[in-house]
Amino acid sequence: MTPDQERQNDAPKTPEVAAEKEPIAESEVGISYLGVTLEKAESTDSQFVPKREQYADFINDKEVALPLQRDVAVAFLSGEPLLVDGGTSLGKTTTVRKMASELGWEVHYANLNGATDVEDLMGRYIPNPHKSKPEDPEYIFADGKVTSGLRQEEGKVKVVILDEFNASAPNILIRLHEVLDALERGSEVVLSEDASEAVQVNKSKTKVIALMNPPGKGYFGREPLDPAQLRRWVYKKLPSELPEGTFSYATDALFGATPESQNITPDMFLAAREQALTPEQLQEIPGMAEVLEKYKEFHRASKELLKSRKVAEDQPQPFTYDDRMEPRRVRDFVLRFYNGDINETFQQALRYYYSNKLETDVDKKKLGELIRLVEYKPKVGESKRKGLEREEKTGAPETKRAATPEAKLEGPVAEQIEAAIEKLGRENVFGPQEVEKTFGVRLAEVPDVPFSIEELERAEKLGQMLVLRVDKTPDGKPMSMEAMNEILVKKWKKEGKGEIFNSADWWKNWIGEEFFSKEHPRLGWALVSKDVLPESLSKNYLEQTEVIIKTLKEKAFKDLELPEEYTEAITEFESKKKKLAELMDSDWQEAAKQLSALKITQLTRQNIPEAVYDVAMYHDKNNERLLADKYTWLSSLDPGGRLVRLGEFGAEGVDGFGWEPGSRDGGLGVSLARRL
Amino acid sequence: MTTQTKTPSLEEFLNVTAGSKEVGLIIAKDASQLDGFTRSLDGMGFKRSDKVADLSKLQKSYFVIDEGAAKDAYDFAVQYPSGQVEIFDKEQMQSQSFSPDYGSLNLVLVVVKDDLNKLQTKGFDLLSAVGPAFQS
Repeated sequence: MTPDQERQNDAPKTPEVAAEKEPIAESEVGISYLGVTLEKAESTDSQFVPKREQYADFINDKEVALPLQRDVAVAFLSGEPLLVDGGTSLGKTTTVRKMASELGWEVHYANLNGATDVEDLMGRYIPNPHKSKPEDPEYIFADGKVTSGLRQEEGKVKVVILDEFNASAPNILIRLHEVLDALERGSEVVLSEDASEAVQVNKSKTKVIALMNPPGKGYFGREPLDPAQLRRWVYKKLPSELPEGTFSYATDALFGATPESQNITPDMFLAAREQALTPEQLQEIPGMAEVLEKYKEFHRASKELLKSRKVAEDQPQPFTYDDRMEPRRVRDFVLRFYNGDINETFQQALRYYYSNKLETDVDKKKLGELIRLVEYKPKVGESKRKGLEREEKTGAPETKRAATPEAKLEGPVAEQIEAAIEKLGRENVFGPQEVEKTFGVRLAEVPDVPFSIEELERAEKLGQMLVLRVDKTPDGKPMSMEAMNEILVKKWKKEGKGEIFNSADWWKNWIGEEFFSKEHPRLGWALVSKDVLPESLSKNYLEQTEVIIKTLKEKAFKDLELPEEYTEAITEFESKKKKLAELMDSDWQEAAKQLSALKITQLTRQNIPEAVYDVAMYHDKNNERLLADKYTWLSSLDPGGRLVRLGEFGAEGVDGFGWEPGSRDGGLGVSLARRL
Repeated sequence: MTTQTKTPSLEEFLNVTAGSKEVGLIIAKDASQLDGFTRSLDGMGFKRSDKVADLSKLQKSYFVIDEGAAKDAYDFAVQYPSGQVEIFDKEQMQSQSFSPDYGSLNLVLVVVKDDLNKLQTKGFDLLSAVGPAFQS
């Protein structure tokens, strides 16, 4: 073996992922919870192992139950003590017991509410119940509940559940923290209750999880814990009440109704490496030094947010981002979960150890904005991934990519894209890299971004994204609906992202083969509203167009001069508006035709391939479906002369049909999608 | 016209608790009514458990909560729906763990209202931990 080969073998590799499709996957030796695999115990014959049949009707909803199991699995895998804070109806204890039943792990349960006696947990001397001879001792030491969970037994794994942790007496907490410290060190717990014994403990054999209801909030006797006491724990905040979506899903499931499909997205999965990296290997990861610097900045900024109560303001349980514990945890997470993309792995770690402590989506979003900044930006031509891993992950047609020239990402275009990212956020900018990742098209030249910084600032306020649309596939064929379907069906199947069309055959039959296989997006950049304009709902096509014009004048170009094309388009519309209104009543087909051809329509509304392209790009990058519960009214006409509405982009794909221009619908609006 | 809601009988209540995934709770106004309830339970084939740990040993059983046994009763009620119950005997320093066969069990806790109120204020939120409750 050459030194190069040796280095390659030593280099961090992408972990094997046994089962990414099923949220919970079982093999003979382990169970994978959203990708995090825990090994089953060898010895499961014990009264303390919960019975699996008890959990036959356990509901694995995607908002609470599945992420909780994943996060518990991460803690169990790493041997970190986990403290879960959440409302009583969330099924915290049941979830842990259900996992233990699947894994054949013992559960040792102690409810700390009302417990005042440390000896109950750690052990005490009792009269010897087996004394039969004079030489037998009068008293023997008997383990408490926690001690029995700490003792190692061949083939067994034990979970110690400390329920109602924040209802505990202070002396008990102090003793338990000594236990946690010993577990962390892998040393011994000295039973001061029995002066003679030290119990060797091992965090791979004993898992500790504490559960608590939120202090206050109707839970009598629960006082906030001292934040300093939380530092030993990985703290996870769950909602105080079952989220509405989970409640609805679980209730449907309980009553045997078919619950609405839960879209388990790939980003919910983690993938633990079969073998953790060594700290030395971390330095081999491209970009590690840059990410590390940004992580330090992130940590400081997060602490500041917390200190100034800009996040977690209403959370009754105070906590800290610990200067020593969090970096160590993040490092261990990266060692265990590095997936070939240092940005993704690092950001997952920060979500796990920082965002998980926050209750509200608003707070998580605030922190999420900081988390996104923790990234390594490779220079042009350099990858943040290892070469092989990049090929595996993109799923784009490799031969075509290799045969086409490099995308030009230097000079003004690169700067324009960076500026757009700064204004709109990385998740809202879809440039040549995203085009290549989603559709496998590597552009020989990238057109300039035609929007000024001021326009991008206004676009951000309008909730818009910036999309570079291409009109041809890697083969040079039109980027038609048919072509997009071919590319995305394969790619998304592999990535578990669902469908792009609810039925490609149906679309082809309805819109016509010619249209389906030839019409394509117009090449160039567009600013596209991610949702329909709220004021455009329940309006007919003409009224929607008025909303578009108002939005252009008052928002998109606020305090800016309208470009000449728009001035002309608006003048044209104003001059035809009255006649179009009459026409909608007398001859809707002619009205639809004229409305479709208006300059303002062509400048600000998507045609069908463009709308498909835009939602596909966003979903591919962000695992989020735009227009999930609404329709946008497009510029395209269907074969019957109706103006096409497109939306309801669920896991089964995007829906569309024709709509007469004079009709209104509460779920139909328009997404402002301008190309100039 | 007035609308009256029929108060279910104890027997009807026990039909509800049979097979339930949560423990039932009977709340007596006073000690005298508690005696009446326990006699009725005895008459309907329920056996009184002296220790919470014994509750699961019989298919139909009840446990009268007093202050000394409050924590055990609370621990039992809290764990019962989770598929496994671990009861710790402080005297023997031994844990017993069992998985309830919900379909065949009918377990009820009985408490005097004043005692219940005291327990609630101590943080033993029995009313949240139990399933169906009965008082007349």
